[in-house]
Amino acid sequence: MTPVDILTGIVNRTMPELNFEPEPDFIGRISIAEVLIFFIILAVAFILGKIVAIYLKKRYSHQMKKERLNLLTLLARVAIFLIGFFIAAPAVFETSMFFVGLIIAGIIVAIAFSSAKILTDFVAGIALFYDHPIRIGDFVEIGTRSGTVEEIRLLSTVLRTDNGVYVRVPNDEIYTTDVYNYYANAARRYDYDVGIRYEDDVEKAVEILEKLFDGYTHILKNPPPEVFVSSFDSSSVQIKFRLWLPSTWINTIDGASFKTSILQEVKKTLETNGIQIAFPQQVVWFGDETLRQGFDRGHL
Amino acid sequence: MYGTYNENFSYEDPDLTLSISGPAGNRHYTRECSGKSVRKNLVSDIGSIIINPVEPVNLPDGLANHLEISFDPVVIRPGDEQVIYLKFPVETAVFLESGGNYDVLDIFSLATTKYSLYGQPETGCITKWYRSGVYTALPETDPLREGVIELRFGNSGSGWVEVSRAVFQNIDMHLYYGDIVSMTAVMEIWNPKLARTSFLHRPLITTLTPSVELYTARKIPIVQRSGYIMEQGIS
Repeated sequence: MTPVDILTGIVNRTMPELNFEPEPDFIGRISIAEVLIFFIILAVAFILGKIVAIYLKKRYSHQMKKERLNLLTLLARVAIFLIGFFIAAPAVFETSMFFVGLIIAGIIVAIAFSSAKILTDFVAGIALFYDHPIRIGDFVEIGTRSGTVEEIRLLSTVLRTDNGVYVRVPNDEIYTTDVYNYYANAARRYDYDVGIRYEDDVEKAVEILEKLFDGYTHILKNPPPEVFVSSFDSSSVQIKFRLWLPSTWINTIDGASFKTSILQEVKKTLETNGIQIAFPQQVVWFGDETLRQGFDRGHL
Repeated sequence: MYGTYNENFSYEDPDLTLSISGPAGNRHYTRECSGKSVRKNLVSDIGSIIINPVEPVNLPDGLANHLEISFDPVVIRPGDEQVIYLKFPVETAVFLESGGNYDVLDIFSLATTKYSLYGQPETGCITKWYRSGVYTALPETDPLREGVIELRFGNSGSGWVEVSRAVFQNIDMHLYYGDIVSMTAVMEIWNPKLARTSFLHRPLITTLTPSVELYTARKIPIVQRSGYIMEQGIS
């Protein structure tokens, strides 16, 4: 005796008025009770799927990445629901295998006709779960959009932009576009330039900057900050400094504040120590002494 | 300052002020240190207040899960085993305890903080970094600022190795407090690039009290406690 037979018996005993003889039609002979049982089985499968999903999340939440666990629970729920459907449909509708086939064919045709893109998004979604170029919580740039990954679904990925906008990006686009993941590596390097006057002591400037950076908690000890003379410009000696920072910190409020304040702090520290930031200037030499004297007297 | 308190109390140090005051059901927790102050109102009846050192990787913003201690190079011959003492920065947590449940009220530190990267950017990890001297006997420390790790390291490789850093994972740490704050760790060196660090459930001095650790207090399930494999080098 199948579960369907048991349920049919229960329904017929408790609600005999439902078990009327329907008129034959193209999908076979179906009573209201059978339709009711069909939906009860689907509901049971749905609830069972939810229970299994909760169990999986509890059991594996500390061992699996969130997006993978989400995929696993989704697949488990879909599988349980489909099993329920394939148990319920042919058994309840007895002679209506045609009806079941019709539904399945209809779904396939609907997907194919509605948009081939849905299929490509789905396939790309599956590929993303295995390729994992992005993870939930990562700060990414996909094409022209950037933001924090909130959710990775089978068909699309949800980003939250810096200004709090919800952006849904089709998975197909993620798979075929350049993706910049700013959290993929543990640390990122930031390069800055500052120009000091030619008369200032370069070695002292480098030393001051190294000491300044050492005092910052988030400027990594290793790789160490690099401070060096990068070029001699027309008005200044260019000092470049390269700083490594924790990737996941950069996009926090503190990290953003650091990026906007570091140059200001560099200028302040250098000036406190007697080193001036250079500004554009030109030294003019006169080959003719009379011209120089005229210039000095203000005649030129 | 460390210990369990069942009533109002206060602690003052030139760099730290900490107190719980007020009538039951309306107590105030205040803490000032390093130019920052925290004030919280405890409107429910509280059980005990526990103040003790915790895994030193939480501050300032919990970016790291590992503690990296850098020290002057120590050279060890194959098959040998040595013990050294290193200092580490102390982070102190204030817990509310009730019926065996612990909730973190505050975490603070008087030690300097610095982050570092252990390994390469693509494969490494962010660590809480600290520079320590190498001591062959228990060094003197201020328990509010620095603790002592007894590091027993053995070279099971076939050549001499130079060690100048040790990286530890936070889930494995066992802290004890009293006159000093201590941890006991082991470092098995397999070759100049590879070693494993792990902690022992053992106080450095028998009179020390075990700390309530954050991983215990937060009831975070730990799948495996088999130490940390230092695969990005030991010097």
